[in-house]
Amino acid sequence: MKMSNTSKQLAVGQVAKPSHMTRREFLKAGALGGAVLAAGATLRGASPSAGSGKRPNFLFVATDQQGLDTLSAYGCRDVATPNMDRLARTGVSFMESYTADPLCSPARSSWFTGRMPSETGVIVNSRPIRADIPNLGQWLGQQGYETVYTGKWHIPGSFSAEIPGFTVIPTGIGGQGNIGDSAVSRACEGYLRNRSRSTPFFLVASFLQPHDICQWVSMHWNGPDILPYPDIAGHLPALPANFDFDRREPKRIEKLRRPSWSEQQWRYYLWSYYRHVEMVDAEIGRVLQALDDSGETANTVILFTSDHGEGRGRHHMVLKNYLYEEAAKVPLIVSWPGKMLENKQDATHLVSGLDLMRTVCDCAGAQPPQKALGRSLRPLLEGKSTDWHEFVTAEVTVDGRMIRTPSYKYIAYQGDPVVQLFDMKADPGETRNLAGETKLAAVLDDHRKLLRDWEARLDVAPEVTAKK
Amino acid sequence: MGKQQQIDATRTKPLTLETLREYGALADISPPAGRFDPNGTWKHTYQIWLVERGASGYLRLERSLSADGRSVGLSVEMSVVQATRAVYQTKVDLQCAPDALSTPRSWRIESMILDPKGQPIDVAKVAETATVKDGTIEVTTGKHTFVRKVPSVLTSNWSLFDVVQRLSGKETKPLGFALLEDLDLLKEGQRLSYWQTTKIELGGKAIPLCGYQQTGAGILPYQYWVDDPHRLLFAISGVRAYILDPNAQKRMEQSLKKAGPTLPSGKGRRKKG
Repeated sequence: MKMSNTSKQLAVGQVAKPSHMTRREFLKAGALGGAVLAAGATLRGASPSAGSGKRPNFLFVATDQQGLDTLSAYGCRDVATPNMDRLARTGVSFMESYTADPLCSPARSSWFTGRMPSETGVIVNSRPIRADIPNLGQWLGQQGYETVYTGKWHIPGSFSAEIPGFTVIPTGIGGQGNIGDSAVSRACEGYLRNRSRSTPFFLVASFLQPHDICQWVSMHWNGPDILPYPDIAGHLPALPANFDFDRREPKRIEKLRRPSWSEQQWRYYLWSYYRHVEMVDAEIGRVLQALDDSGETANTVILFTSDHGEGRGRHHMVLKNYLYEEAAKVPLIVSWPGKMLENKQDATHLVSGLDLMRTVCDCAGAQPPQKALGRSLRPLLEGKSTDWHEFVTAEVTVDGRMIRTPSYKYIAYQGDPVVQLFDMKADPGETRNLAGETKLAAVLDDHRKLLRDWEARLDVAPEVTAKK
Repeated sequence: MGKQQQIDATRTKPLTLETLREYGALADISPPAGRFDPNGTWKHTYQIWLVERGASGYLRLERSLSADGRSVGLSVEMSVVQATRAVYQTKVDLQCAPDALSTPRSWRIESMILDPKGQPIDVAKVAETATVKDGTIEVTTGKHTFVRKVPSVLTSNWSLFDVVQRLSGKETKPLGFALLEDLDLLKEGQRLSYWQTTKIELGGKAIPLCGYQQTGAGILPYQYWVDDPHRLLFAISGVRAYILDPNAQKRMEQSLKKAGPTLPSGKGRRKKG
């Protein structure tokens, strides 16, 4: 299939008006989303081609600010996540899963394009994706998928009624996942119950929680050392093992380390964070229940991930926007009952948010965009042996980069003389910076070179090049 | 954007009765008037106040009693304005047992998303009826019926607005239960207990309040504050508060009208990640 340049109904970059809101109008709006792409002659790369056989639906469940090891299924005793646990039981959990960037908009731009943030141009929050890079909604829309978006977008608007390639059910509230996420899950529930059965769907359920922890942190920043609710006193989580750590780190990281809380305050923060995780778990449960009730579970690929993690006191950190594991490592579960492995924890393969684009295209029988990075996870999901990434990378605001190989992690910030090298087998908590160890000089050089080579391959957005 | 950043910068203390006042949430709130019987029929409207957005909707609850006294009815209507100026609306007719937890027995719930012009988005509508029996809920939606298991000691978030008005202050024995939030999200291990007393000034009048705390899985702790006649004036949890305010619906409608029909791109919001 070739992308048409002949459609003149919409100008390049113009998007369809939001639908309101009969089902017919809703579908028409989705079709217009496709027309936007057809008119978008600036898009490059191979056109997708339809695969054979019945194509699966996709339910993409995204949370915001959820670290990888925050599921009870993964052994976290401070939280109860029955619905995420269910996904873990019915799918493959990637235990070495990294975001492309531990910040909302950049990470999201990578999910939806398969490109690094420095390529999409979304190197900080609230920037649009570069106009010549298609998103998954546009790409799958061209394949005849009904592409529907609920909840947080953030590329650029946090919550938007207009997203290229998607029909939007406008739900969610900035900074208030505690109440906005209910509308998101209800909208998904309604869609799954009411949708036409004739067209496969790509539904995005993009929740804001546990991101409300940002508000919690700012509201407790200077708070008194008092536990306001006596009932929780016996339930506070312990401090993490890497609460204390090696202080030889780049200045950019030091600057992010802010609260000077007592042990009780840190533990109260941890307790609160896990309640935020449980909130979004419940909302996910509503969506999964609706999918079950619709009878579509067996024909639906469910992808579950988060844009970045949360400090949780590790390295004395809160929030995100740095490259330690607590911010850079995110849950990634893919489930397709009967078609993929179930109840599998893959702790071997290094994977990235970049891999989602190619994975979805592979499962949909579509060619991925030509320049999409990453790899399709499908062979791993089906238990097939395959050559895999030697490494994954992540970047932060362009000037910070990390590279993770099976044994080591290297972190460097442009212009900062302090770099970090961690032995991820012996020291998964990143408590000892080995960059100065003479015996590891060759390892350090290897990682530098890998990163340089990787950077040289990127098709960096013009505005990012200008900034650098 | 500037105004929003200013708000964010100043709201740097946890939500309490004191900080609600400090943040301007109580400026237009009058003290409640008239008699109140928590065991009788009543109708309350709460403003839904959010740290990030201020007044953002309303929750209306109306309690009724069956003629034979064997059932308590709760009629619920809730509207919450979304970031795009769409509105998430929920309407519920809930029948409860006349017990300490106002245990849900059966209900009909409808939810919908109204677009910025106030039109419902059909494809996102949800309508369900449900009956609780012998540790299960039988849910019917459209032509389909599903059965789900639930714990036997159960209540809903809306029932709790009734429950706390019938507690006995310091004499209250802690209640343990599972929460069926919005009548479908199961959150176990909940505990509701007496917390503390305080006073608040509304409209120049000092009002003594009795506070209860609710903690459990999947929620940030709730503070419930009732006045001497046991009327619930405030419920606070995390970055959200419910403030007894008969004008809450009107406020929301005026705010939507003033803002115009649409804010399509989400621009103007904070730039936090």
